[in-house]
Amino acid sequence: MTKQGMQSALVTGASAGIGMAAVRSLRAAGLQVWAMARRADRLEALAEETGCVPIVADVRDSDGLEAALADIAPDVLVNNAGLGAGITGILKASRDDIERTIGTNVTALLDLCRIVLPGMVERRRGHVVNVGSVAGLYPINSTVYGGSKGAVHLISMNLRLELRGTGVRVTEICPGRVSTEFMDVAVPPGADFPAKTPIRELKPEDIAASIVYAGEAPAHVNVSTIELQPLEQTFGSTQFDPIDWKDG
Amino acid sequence: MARQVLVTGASSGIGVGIVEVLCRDGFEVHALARRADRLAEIAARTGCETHAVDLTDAKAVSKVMADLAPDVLVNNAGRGGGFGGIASTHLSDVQATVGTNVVGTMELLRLALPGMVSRKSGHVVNIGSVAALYACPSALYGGTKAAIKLLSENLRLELRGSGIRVTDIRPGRVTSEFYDVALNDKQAAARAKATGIRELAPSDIGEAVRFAVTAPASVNVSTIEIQPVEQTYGGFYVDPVQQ
Repeated sequence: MTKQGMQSALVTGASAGIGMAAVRSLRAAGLQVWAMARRADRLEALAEETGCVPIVADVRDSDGLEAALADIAPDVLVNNAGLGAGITGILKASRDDIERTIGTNVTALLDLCRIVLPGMVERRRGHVVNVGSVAGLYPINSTVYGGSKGAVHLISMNLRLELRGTGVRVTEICPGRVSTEFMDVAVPPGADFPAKTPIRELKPEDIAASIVYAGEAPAHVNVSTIELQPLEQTFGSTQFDPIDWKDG
Repeated sequence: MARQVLVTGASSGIGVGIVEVLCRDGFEVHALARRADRLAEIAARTGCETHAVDLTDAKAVSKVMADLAPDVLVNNAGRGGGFGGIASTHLSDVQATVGTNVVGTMELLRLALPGMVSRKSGHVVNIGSVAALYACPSALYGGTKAAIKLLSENLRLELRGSGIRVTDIRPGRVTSEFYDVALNDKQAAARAKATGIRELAPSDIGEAVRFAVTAPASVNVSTIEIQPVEQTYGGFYVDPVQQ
């Protein structure tokens, strides 16, 4: 990536899963990396291991973000922080589930773009990588989460248009099922939702490899979307569910 | 790792880029196209095997496939058409474009998939287009590439549990002979090609294919959309109709 002029990256949601793997891969690619998350102890361990610089912040705290990012100018922004509160369905979701999911997956992502993009545009160099989801492309029976990731999909497309002519690249990565803590956090115990699967799920490293592939593409190339999923996971099909018509 | 690769439309543009990258990485590449002379030149340079047949000639294609058992099928053969608007496009152009982009792809799938299914492994890589995702002014071309998008998505469902991967690569503008063929007017082709930007090179698509094909066996890189940094899609028009 350094060949493409990229010197540094900011990764959100860096204390676990995909974010942590992305930090490791970007460090291995020779970039300076700021790793942002709420959990200081985890970031400290990651810093010790990889040499990344921890930023303890909550992406939903806009003032905190502004303060934390005031003095840094990342070339790559990996918008990875995300969660799936309410993933089991809007009929079971609380108002707080909706606010947390939209607040983290959509509002905070936009806020980070708002804060980081002016510097990229000014330097005429930058790469925004949004970690979306297959849930942003196919209905997976999850209105709140799918809605939030559908927003990330159209945010990424519109961002490319808004940034035309600036040289800033925008990549959206849409993974299927990844083995992380995501489902443990999102799915309440006993919920009717497949939090565990018997398949070989994606590993966080698979997503990190996609980020590196997009980042290392020649400077004239924008790898704008990568959708990847376990070989054993597919999407779609049609349902017919007869209902009890009261009119006979 | 997958060894034998069949690439269609291999005598020019993206097809050559894919053949070059995969030959470089040690795959046994079978290049299929109509033009024997071009294939011979590419074979001399890359070491690929060649099959000079017309994809719309079902009998000839079937004969080639009888001797092959590709681990990877790259459905790359494609052509443009209808860029002057569907109303002024000859039926023969419609048939040629749909015939190559859609029917040819489906015919190869019909021939190649049974072997992959019985071996419980294989990888279909379809070269689609950003024209499947965003409106570009050709109902014909965009329509055929949208067919590739949904064909790929349905194929994944049809093949669930089979161990076969399906990838749809959707490039934006690539420097190739595409517009020379799609527009039979030399000046129009020159205008269409004069973008003034750094376009994708065929090798950029070759690298995307390589990325998908060399992913760990449990991973299906199902879609890669890739375009020049200087190309974007969208916006909107307001066109008052003169009463």
